[in-house]
Amino acid sequence: MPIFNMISGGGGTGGTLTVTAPANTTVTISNGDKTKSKTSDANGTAIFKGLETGTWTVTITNSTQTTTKTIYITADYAMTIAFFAATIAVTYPSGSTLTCTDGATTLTATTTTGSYTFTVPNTGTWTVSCTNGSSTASNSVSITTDGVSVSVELSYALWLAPSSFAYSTYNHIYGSPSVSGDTIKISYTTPSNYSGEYSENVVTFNDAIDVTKYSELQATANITKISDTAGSGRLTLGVASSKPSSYSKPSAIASANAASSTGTQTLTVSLTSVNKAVYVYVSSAICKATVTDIKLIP
Amino acid sequence: MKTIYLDTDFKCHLTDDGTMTAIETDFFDGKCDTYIEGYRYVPAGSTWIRLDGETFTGEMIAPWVDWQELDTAQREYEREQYQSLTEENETLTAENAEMIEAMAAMVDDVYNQDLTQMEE
Repeated sequence: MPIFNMISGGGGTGGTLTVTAPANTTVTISNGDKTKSKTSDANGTAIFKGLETGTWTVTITNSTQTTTKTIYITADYAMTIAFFAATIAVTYPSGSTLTCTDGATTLTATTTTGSYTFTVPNTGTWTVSCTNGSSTASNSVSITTDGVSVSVELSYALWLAPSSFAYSTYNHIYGSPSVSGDTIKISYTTPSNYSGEYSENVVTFNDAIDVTKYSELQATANITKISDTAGSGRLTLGVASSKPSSYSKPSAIASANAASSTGTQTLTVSLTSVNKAVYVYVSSAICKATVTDIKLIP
Repeated sequence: MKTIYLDTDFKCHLTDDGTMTAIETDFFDGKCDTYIEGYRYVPAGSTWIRLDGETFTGEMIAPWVDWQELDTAQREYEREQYQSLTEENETLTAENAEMIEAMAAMVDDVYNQDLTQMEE
């Protein structure tokens, strides 16, 4: 769309510039040391007469935004100028503080209702963030053109604290899992009469959790033993379509196994292609460990 | 235990195109080809970076095709397997019945022959 149009062939000096801008906005034009300023009327029109031929800069400003266009006047001109306006509609957990920034400009939502639309003043990468206590979530969007509207949904990680979920444990004679507070503790004792058989210690959440809006499952494991004379052990974080119901190895949709080394490590499972309710579980064999911070991350 | 082949994006394949890494796993025991090829397998010691920049450390196994599609394919595979086994069972049962009938006929024949010989 052209930003100005020649409306008559007045020519030479003394041209008239008709600016169509947002109503009641300050319109300033300048050419070298010449500057004129007017406020657009209720129709958004500001007219400048007697302008000499040359390059003029037209600027509109309000309390938050400025937009500038440069035109070359040789006759009467009409032009339209508007503030840049793109919107980012955000859905976020209500009660949270919501901000939107491109690094230079930071906008803050004036409500905490869970739904807010930012009008951003320029193109660029805008990061939308919400916080509530220690919970944070953010997402970035690219605004490339004037007038676009984009939507962003923010949600916090869902912490699967065993203490706040119903859970079941299934254990084998050579080990046992237990839950204390928000920690899953997996014990294991090397059997004195090991017969070559072992099976799983399983802790599973009793209720299926819809993971459609989460992209990964994560947990922190602190392993103190993961092999012995019985062989190499294993610690698995996974999701299953049916609830694991015995001390046999769960049939996983997706899972992550800890590295075969002691110490603290993070287990992360990608869930981007798992769009259903699933049972989250931790299982182990020949392993002594604690598992904490089980969470679903958007 | 099954041998699968991983491409550079850790996607699973049933055959090696000459550039893939062979992995043995029991994760796919009993699973159909479609199911297996819908998965990504990041072996222990390897790292996969997802398109959104998230890093996943092996061993991690997760579908890259919507799991419900894979589950549907697997269920169809299992239904076909069941159907095939049922048909095979029916064939064997029919063959068995024929054999029993033939054996019974043979016994009858022998008995009748013996009876004829005794009467003569």
